Amino acid sequence: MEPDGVPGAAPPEARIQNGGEVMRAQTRRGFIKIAGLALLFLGILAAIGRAAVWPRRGTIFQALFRPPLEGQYGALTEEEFRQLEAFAEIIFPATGDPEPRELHAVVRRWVDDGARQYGLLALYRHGVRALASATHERGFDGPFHALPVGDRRAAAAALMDEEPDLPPAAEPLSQLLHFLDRVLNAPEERRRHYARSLRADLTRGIFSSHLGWTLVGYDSWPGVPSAHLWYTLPPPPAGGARPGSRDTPAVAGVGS
Amino acid sequence: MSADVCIVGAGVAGALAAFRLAAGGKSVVLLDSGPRFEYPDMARYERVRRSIYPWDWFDEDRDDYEEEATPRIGLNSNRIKAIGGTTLHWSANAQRFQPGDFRMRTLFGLGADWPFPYDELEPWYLLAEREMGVAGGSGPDQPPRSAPYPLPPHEVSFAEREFIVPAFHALGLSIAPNSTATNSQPYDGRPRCAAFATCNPFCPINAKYTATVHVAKAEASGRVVVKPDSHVRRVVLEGRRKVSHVECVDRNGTIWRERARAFVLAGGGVEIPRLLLLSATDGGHDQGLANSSGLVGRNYMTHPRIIVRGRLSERIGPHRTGVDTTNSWAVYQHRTLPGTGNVMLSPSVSGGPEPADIALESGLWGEELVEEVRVRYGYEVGIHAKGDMLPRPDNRVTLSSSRVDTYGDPIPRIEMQLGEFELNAIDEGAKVAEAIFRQMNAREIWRSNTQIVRNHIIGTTRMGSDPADSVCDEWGRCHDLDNLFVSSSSLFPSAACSSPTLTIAALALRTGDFLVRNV
Repeated sequence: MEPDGVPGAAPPEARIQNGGEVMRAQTRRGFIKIAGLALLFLGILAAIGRAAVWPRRGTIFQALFRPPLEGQYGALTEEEFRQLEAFAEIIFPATGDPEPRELHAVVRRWVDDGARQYGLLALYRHGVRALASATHERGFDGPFHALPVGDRRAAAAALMDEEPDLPPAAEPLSQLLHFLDRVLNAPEERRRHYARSLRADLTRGIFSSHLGWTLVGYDSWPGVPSAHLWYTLPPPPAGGARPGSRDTPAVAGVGS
Repeated sequence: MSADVCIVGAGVAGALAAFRLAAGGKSVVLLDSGPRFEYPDMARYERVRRSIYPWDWFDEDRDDYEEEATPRIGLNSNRIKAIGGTTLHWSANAQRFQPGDFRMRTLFGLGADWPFPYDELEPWYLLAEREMGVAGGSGPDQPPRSAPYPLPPHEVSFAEREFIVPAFHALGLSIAPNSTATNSQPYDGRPRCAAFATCNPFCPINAKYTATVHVAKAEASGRVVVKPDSHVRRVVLEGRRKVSHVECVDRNGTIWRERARAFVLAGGGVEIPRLLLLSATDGGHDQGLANSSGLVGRNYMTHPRIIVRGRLSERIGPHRTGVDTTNSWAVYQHRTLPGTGNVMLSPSVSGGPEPADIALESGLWGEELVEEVRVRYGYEVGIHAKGDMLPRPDNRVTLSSSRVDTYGDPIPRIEMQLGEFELNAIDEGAKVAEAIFRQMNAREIWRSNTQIVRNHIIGTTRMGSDPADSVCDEWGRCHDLDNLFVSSSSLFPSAACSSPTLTIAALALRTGDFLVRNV
């Protein structure tokens, strides 16, 4: 009877011993294979991530850290109106009478419409909160609207810093650090975003109103009766009063 | 039979054709794919003040399209599918074509002739001007006319009178009052322009004409039924030369048929050829209805344009009125053809930044901001150099081979490139405009990129005497079908330089009159 096994093969113990080496060798090879595959997989993932995610990091950042300005409808509180009027006063320094009253009326109408009809409640509400926190951080006492104009402007100006420029594309490490910095400072950036957007919205409202047009001499806008031909007059000097009507010279070739 | 005439499209062409038919005692059903907006609507006006565009006029799926065009066409940025059509936000320029535009092939060997001369259309121009309330005045180089405008011209603005007109004259160029469908006096139950520069996208007091005026008049006759939200998917034949009905669907998917003795397609230069191509059927119409010439959708034309702007050394008071009060036909005289095309030069004194724009751009606060607006505002003016375009078969509307709309129909595909003829013409026009600015001692002069006037869509079902070289006859009737008509700038064999609306209106009234006599 032949010993157990294949003719000419090593005895069982030796085979077991050798088998252990074979198994270890196989395990090593398997491990190397698996590790290689894992590394390849991770590499592919990284490549996909770099290709698909990294270029969209701005969008992803916005989705995570910048709630939309639009889409929330509702009414502002009296306190919020007061804060917004106070903010408008540092944009457009209304003086005398009735400019301040007109400014308040313009702003109230503008933001009320914006919040109720155009879904800008979040913009105004978060904007007011940003002003309040900036006021607090700068050590001013009292609410934003109760501060003197100079202090209000200082508090608001602190929220208007532009975002730092992106590092050059050729410096990926700088870009990564910049991005991480943005993530760490996301709440601050979000506050600045709301404050800057609020300023832009109120500026649009004020300067597209009668106040803004009067500033450049257009007292015929938006609705003074019988002013329909004033556009044929020269514009008044900047800040000056409208000149009286004058004879308009005939222009050859142009009927009137 | 539900009506004598079924009109597809309730813009200026459809509205005026319906009005004329109703006045002639015919019953009409007027369909439009889009909604009926309240007009004017001050809630929408508030949206304008916030720089939010006021019309939700296109449906992303229903009105999708493809384009391969330079410059980009941006179809849905300008056309409005709604009762009133694109006149809901037009600029109200209401200029006639020049007589030479009707004979481009005969005179210069370019493009195609119209099937009739200018003199044939002149009385219809006059009627269209009366219906729309066009204000204008006589001046050199304008197209000839047999009677004065129904309304006197708007008084020339300060900027044009003091700066622009003298500069034109110093260079030996004529300039005349612009003709515009905005009331310079109360007219047709609508007030005079109040000069608040709030014309665009719409006039809050209705001093600017829109096609809603004639939709309302047509409805008031009791003979016209207006059906918004009625999208026409197919034109269906009965025999080889007669349309029996159109297949309609609304937003809810309800399907119905509209039958009539005659049909007028008035849905604009993209949707009309698209509908004809979609309606292909057996019996000699396998390449689309009315397409025995192979020209349905071809010869797409528009108006290329360069806007030259300048900053003057004196304040010119822009934004006092939205109406451009002058216009120059000086280099729109066919004198440089066939080498260089015509150009219309149109001063625009309200194109520069408004106080709000300057304030937003400045980044300043308080007194400094106010001073910046005071000092910077009011120096900019523009001159539009708008050129002619030649018909080329490769510029065309076809059907997409890969994308469909919400109803499963292929969306339109537009292919359009400008040629040397167009580019040279507007470059020459821009050079003239730059010379005018130099004459005005402008401190800065700059020009825009080459653009196109996106809502001017011309030539895609052109009319002509020869059925082999045109889609429709001189009345807008398709050569291949006895009771199918087209009313649109798609009929124009040439693009000219004038804005197309007045010519669309004149042709619509003329086609309507023909139908009154023949249906």
